[in-house]
Amino acid sequence: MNLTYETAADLLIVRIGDDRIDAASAIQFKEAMRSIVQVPGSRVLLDLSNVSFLDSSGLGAIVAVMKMIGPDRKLELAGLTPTVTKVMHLTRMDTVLRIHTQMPAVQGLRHAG
Amino acid sequence: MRDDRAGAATSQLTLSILPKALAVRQALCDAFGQPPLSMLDDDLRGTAELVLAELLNNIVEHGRCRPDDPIRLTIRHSLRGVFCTLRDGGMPLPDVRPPPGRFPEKDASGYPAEGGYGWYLIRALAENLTYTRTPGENHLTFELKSKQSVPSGA
Repeated sequence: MNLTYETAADLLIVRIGDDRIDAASAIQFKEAMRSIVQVPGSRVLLDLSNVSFLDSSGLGAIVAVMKMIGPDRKLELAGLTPTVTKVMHLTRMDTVLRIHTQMPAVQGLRHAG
Repeated sequence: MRDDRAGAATSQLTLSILPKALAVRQALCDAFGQPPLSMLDDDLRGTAELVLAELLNNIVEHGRCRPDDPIRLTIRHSLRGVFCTLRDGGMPLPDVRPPPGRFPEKDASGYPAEGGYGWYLIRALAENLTYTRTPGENHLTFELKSKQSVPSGA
């Protein structure tokens, strides 16, 4: 699983390089996220713009990340492709997670990974 | 793994997929490059990939199939989309019927459930689902239909 991250002020942005988070990669995604979220930041933003496919295993891994970062840090999503948007809507994750329709403009983005 | 090269001509595709997560991924990637799946509109392609992935991964994770016993998937063109048939030699579905696919409850801390969405999504997206158990084999059929309106043709 190819993940890179950047930090900007209180925001930790994690970009998923793979085009799928599915049953074959959900565990790897979760494990890679477990170390990345050690980086401080009160908001964690997943950039899913490369992800064309996400199934219920991938969805479960995103919920696992939400729990992993704890109640004091918010998980946000950006760059959703239409199929991923459909999964988020059907499973009502769009009522639990903040979903940006565009990547938020961030000043002074610093590459840290 | 494609074992029906004539599928493109008849708009029917037959796949034989070993019960492993990576084999399922590879089969889906191959299948969506070929008719009839490659001919679907983008919305229905997304729906079809999701439903097929959920059903195939359920078989891989819960079916306890013999590792060399492939899952057989047939997809053919239908009036509004595709008609699919799935056969596997794994365990029967619980209570020998397709699960109702209820929306999974939040956990005690108020977080959404981490699992249990598979059959919920299948039920939300697949139509005319049938399930038959014969000795040693599960046989599922379902249809995936386009939400786009078809020309009236009047």
